[in-house]
Amino acid sequence: MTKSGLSLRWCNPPSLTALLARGSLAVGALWLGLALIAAPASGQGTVNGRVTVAGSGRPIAGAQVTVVGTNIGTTTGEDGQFVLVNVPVGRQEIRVAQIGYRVGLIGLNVQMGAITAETIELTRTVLRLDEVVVTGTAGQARRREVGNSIAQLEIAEAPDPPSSIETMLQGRAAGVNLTLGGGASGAGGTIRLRGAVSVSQSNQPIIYIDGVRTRSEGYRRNRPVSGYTGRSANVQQNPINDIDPADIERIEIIKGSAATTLYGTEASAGVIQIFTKKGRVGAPRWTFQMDQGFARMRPFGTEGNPYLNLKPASYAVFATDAEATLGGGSCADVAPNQDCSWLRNGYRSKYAGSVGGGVEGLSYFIAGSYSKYDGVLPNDTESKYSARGNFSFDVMNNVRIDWNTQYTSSNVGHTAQGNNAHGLTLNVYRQERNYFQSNDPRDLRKLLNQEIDTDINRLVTGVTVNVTPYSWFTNRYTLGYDFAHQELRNLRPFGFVRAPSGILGQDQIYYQTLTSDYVGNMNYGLTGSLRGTFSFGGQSILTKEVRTSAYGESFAGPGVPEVDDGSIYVAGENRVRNVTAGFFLQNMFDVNNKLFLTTGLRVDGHSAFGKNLGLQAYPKFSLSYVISDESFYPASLGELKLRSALGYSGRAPGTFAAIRIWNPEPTSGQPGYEPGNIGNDDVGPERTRELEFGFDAGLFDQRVSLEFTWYEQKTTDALMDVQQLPSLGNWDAQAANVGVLRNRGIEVNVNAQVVDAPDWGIELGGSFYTNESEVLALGEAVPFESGDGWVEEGWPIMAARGYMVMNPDEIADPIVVQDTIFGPSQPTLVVNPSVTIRLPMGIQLSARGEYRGGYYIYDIIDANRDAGRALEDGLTARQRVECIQDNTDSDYMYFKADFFKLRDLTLRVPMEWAIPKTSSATLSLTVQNWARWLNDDMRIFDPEMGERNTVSESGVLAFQEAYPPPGIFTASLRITF
Amino acid sequence: MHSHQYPDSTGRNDIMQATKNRMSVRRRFRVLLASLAVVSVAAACDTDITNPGGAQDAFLDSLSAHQALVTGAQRSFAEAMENIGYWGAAMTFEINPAGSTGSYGIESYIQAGRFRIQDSGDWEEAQEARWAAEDAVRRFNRVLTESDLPDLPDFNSYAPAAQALAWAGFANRLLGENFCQVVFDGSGLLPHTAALQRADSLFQEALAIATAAGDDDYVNAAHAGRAQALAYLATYGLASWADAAAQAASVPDDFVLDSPRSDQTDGQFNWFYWANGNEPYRAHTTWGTYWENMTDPRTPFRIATDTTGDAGVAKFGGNVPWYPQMKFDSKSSKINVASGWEMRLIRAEAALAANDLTEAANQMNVRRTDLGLTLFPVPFASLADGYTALKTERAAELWLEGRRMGDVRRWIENAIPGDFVDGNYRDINQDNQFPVKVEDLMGRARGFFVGESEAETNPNVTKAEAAAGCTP
Repeated sequence: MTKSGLSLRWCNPPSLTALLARGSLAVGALWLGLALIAAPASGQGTVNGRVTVAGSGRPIAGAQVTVVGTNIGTTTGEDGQFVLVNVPVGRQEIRVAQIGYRVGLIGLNVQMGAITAETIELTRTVLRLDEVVVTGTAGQARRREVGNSIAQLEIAEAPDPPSSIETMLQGRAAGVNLTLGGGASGAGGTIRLRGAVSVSQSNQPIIYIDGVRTRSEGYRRNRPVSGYTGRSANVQQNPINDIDPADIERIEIIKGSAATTLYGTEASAGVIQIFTKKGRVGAPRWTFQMDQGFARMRPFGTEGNPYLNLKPASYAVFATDAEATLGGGSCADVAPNQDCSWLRNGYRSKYAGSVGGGVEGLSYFIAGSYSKYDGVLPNDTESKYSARGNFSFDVMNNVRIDWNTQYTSSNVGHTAQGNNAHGLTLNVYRQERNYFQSNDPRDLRKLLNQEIDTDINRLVTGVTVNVTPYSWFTNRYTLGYDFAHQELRNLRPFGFVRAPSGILGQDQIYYQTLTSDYVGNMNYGLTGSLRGTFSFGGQSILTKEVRTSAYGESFAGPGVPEVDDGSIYVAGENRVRNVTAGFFLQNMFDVNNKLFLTTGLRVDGHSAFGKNLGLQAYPKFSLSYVISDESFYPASLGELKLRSALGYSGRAPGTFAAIRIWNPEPTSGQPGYEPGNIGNDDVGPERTRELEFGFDAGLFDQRVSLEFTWYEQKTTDALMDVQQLPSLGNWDAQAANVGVLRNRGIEVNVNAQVVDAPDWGIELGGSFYTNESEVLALGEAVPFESGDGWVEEGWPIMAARGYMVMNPDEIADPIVVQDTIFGPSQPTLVVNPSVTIRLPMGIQLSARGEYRGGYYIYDIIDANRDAGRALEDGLTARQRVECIQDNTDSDYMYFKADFFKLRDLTLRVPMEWAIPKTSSATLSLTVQNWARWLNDDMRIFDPEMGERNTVSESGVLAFQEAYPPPGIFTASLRITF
Repeated sequence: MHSHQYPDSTGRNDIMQATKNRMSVRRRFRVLLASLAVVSVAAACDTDITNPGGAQDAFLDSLSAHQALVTGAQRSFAEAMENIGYWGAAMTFEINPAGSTGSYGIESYIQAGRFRIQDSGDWEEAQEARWAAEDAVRRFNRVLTESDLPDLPDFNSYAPAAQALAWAGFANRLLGENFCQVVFDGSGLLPHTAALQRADSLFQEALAIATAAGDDDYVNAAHAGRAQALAYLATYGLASWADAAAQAASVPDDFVLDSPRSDQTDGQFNWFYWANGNEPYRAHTTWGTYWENMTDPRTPFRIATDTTGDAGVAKFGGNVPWYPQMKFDSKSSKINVASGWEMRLIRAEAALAANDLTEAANQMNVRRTDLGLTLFPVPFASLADGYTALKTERAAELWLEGRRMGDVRRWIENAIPGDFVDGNYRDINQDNQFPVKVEDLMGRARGFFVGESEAETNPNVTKAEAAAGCTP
């Protein structure tokens, strides 16, 4: 049976080219509308078939099936079945491609009105040497040509339905480390690729979406502009999470300068490129997804107080869990949430739909989603609308235009938390030693009467024009625009318990990134076996951030105020622009399609460079050798690619680093100037050189894939904030290119099909990553603190430094060595094991975990909690520094952060049998972050509840009075027609 | 049917097939050159950008910017004085800790009587205040004497120069009174009195220019500043009490020079108020200080009966009663830098130094008469009685103005007779909740360290030397 009957056949739209030739926009719009809902009109024949794994006969879902030389195509369902309609009669070639398999091609004769049935078998290939990658290359390149490691995350391969991009990045590839920013709604994480390469500049990788550079730094926190800025939830949202994971096809990640040279001055921390889905010529393919679930806090306290007074709401008021649950005491009256707890099971729901398809000359993918995630604290909510339209136009035979647009609108509400005396968590954790001197929930609930709301509207759009004037010459030009508007409202209303006259903060922030990017590729042949590709390009990136902030306090009375209702109000403005512009040249020699030698050079200018600094050049060199294609290589050893890469890239200094300026600082209404930035005409980018060696192997009849990489990054001219002599004016610490930093380690990714029977199978996988960092030189800078990390020659980059008790377990006075370096602030060992068990009837069970170790965390909360405890006899030296107030100092509170978490456990069940007329239907049941192991040093809290000022920092993660990411249960139903 | 396997999925074979039919090399080269030209144009984007905010150094040479430089120096002084005054008050029992530590409170080591060299912020801000004012004077002098511009005012009668000199003097006085040692512009360590000598010199210049400019406020400010510096130096025998008294006598009783505060940014808040504003911090208390049982209008406080300090204080055994000071009633309350009433006390102290017990009592009684307080007997019965009264009067008059630590140090180090207001409060407290004497000023720090950041960046200063100068 053919499934073409599912398509609507209203008409046969004329070609877009023809419409454009007539210049009729109205007709074009109509054409576009029709194209979205119309299937290709009657063709001469139909091909259906099934795609299976060679050998096992197991069906392959999601494979792309196209008719060569046409735009006709589709994808296979869960049962491996496909249908191609409107296939021209005569001899045709059918091409089948799926990740992890060699491309399949078959030839067949299509007859008028007839249905041709075929079974196509694909052979596994774990190295995917002929798949195309884009990131870090000039234009496109096959994996076999690339000399550096590149991580590629295919969404179709993820067993769990990812709830965010961060979830997709977490624990799935060696060297890609995501540290969550706590459990508050919308909290963004920090992404580090092979550790930190800078101590003063951002270590956040730069982000591209479909070739368009987008904002990678976090959004501004919702903090009032005057007074203590911690009156907030103290979390930062990460723009990467604006993208709906359902829209994504794959993510490519290059982790260091060996691969990021062509991105130049801002790429030393790596590049992440996200590719969204495209429509394919063929009948519309509708997909709907519905997620339902809840977030539930998992224990993070002591055995006797597992939620540290968040649940039950107070141990002192309610002696036991049972009493609290049953409404003992005044629980019913308090009831911030169910069971007299500050915590709730946060309801989570998401609805997403998309349609993709195309006709000759046009393909489209249109998607929309709505999600609402309640957090575990009473005021925590997150709602988001997202829409996407991706269109591809073949306007001429050799000109293709891709237009990709995403719009997202989100609202996040927060409960005040963190190091915030107006916050719930601080006062709950400290109990009767809090600012109420009360642990009674009836007092503390007054803190919920504040509004911390963040609205973000974001548009990312880009047009890419591909022109191929000659078969040997391709051109690609991308013009992209990323615009985000963020509104922050932070209200403690009139009558608020801690600011009775009321306080309102209001910020309007606009972020813009404009991308202009050209790449040209010329293929040429030198001899029969030697050919090459010469590439060149130019790029400019303009970023702009405009912030207008206002603050008002002392309102006349109750109501919803505006800033200027306050008897005191102030305003502020920040406007910052930066521009990077540069060009590159690259040449790749290809010897027999086995050996590839690439050399390249990027040259950049940047608006933040000192005036004495000229353009900066970043060279690259890489070698790739598919040795297994040599005749002498035994076939029994499978596939093997050897690779090596050396490259440079940079990181620009801060916007004002080069300029000597005085800060306007008024006093009592009079204008004034204070010393600001002393300036440096010679300041330039940090230069990171990365060298990596490795191999990719497909072993044991393509059942095992193994990737190994050794890397070393050396950042010279590292920007250090050099402390200025206080007695010469106390100018701000000045950025200077004086330091040398190093990171090195290994990465291993392994995946093994242990059992691969038709009805069941077991796949084991994992990654292993090490990182050893060291500050090699400081130049004229003295050891200093940066981003809560200590920078000193001979020690890890941004190390944990504090007071060490040398006799912690003795019943004695503590022997303390001050200013001792404990160790690294970044994980030095990360292991991500995973297992997937394939069961009969298509059922699949998978689990994935993450271990991080070898680093330290700063637990400032313990210092606050312990201060003032009663003296007890027989205290150890360690206990004496923690429990006796005169001894207590937060500098003692450094702990090993080693932990393991079960990132996800997922059961996938095919549901086509229950939902008729679908090409695929899958129910997934997933729990995330449900179980954990902590090292013995970490007695309470969780290593993922730390707080940073920005996601760009890489110092020691510090606990503030936050809470860890909750466990999340999700039931997800995804159906495709 | 089995499929064929094609390892090359990119179409490269097709491309290469087409390449075989290629055009001439020359044509390709032309295409390449044209493309590179396009790239060059694209990449030649101008990267020069001027972002708003901040003033470039050269702009400040303009006369129109000079007053703003003076204001900036004032602000730097205010910021320096803020925490120095706050922590100095805690060190000398002008206030007692009532809970909070950290940014808004009194660190436990300060409660215990110690400062830390690694807390460099106070040193840095005090140096910024000094340098910014002195640099403004240098700039004014350079612009007015070296510029070719016509109709420039005379530096020697230029009011902004007098004002900058005065604030430079007060910044040096702040350094000298509150730090154990001092450094100027990258010099080696010097005794703290060097800053007071520098202050006196600057005040003399200010006085001359302010007089020529007819700026009466700053004439008074310069006289008052000189009196403060000379009085301090006279205690150490480095100046004449008579000179100090003469300068003080030039200042009218109602003169006040204050340091402005602002409710717009927290760096400008009056911290005595804000750290105790009950929003939510109740970080200090007048409870348990000498002033708890006094009714001097210069040391006002209220007794809060509905709450206590905001956290437990170990040495007091827990939460303490909260008696917030009432001298400053808002975030923008100004703090005195010099006043005519202080000048009366300098004249009184000069009289005591000359063993004139009558003149000393008379000078102090002028102020007490003004306040309606019981007058001291004239003359004092003994020199010790006179000094005890003088020390108590200064403690009250200058309460919470960042002056107490300097007074305590000069009196202790020079064995000035008479008792001073100390921390032995519990024996006179009617409340027996905490009956034990818990404080003794003699064992506590009497000055801030030269900051660790100075020692780390100044080749003429070692950390050990900087740390050595602060032993009580």
